[in-house]
Amino acid sequence: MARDTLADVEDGALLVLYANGDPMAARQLMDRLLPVALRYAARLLADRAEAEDVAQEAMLRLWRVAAHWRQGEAQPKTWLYRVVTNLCTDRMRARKSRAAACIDDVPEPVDPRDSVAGRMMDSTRLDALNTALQCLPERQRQAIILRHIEGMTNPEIAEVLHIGVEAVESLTARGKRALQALLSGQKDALGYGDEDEI
Amino acid sequence: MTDLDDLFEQSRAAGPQPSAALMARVMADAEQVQKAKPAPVPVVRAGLFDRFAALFGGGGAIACGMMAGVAGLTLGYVQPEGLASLSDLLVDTSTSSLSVEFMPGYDSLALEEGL
Repeated sequence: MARDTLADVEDGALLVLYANGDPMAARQLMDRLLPVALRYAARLLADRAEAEDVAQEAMLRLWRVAAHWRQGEAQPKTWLYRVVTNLCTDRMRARKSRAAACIDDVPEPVDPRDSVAGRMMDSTRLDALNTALQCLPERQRQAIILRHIEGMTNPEIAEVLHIGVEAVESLTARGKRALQALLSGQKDALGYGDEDEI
Repeated sequence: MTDLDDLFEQSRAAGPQPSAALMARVMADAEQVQKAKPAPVPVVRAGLFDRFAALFGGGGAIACGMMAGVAGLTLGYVQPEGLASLSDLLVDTSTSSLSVEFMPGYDSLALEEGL
């Protein structure tokens, strides 16, 4: 099937097409889902190389499950988030050195008045956020990233993390409070005024 | 919107993009899995006879039963020569009985009398 005609086909149907031997379906699925898997893995692991390995492994599992995929029962994207979560959890446990990374490792902020420096400031703020995220407990980090960065709904997060919606609400609320506490000490350095609320 | 929400927004826009090398590896995996996919096995539904035969232990048991029935009917109608005398021997159908001496020279009464 031509690639243009696949643009409107939903992910589950694409996966069935792939299982039936359509070569363009794989390309379309990869274009849609690989960036999602890579971004999420990179945010969880804070390591680009490891995130690439996880994203590739998650996509490989998607190709393998395609022949048994039951369309309409689950969304491939949600399934992929779950696989990436599990793969990252395994890697984090193997690493066991997360405690070494903390908010103190954030690079020194630069003067925001300069435009180049302004861009660097944006980068520094994101680095601060990423570092603070790494200081959160694993489940809180997953819930915060899925809710506030990946933009998923609480029921979707509950499906990915295999927990109830109330537990998701609790995790995101506690995670957000912890992030605010971690970043509030960096408010001036990150270019936020006293009146700004983090 | 708080600054934290602002940071989330920035983070959302700044996610890493897959490299060409990663995309090539993922596509290679996809092609390999697609080629290695086994041919679909046709689904064979059990027919009426199969389901009936299953009640009696399968098609083999049904065939044996039918053969035995046909053999019995054939022997009953055809009555091969010698079959009647054989059945007379096995089943006593006459009024007279047949007695067979296994030890013709042995007299049990003589034994009782101490002879």
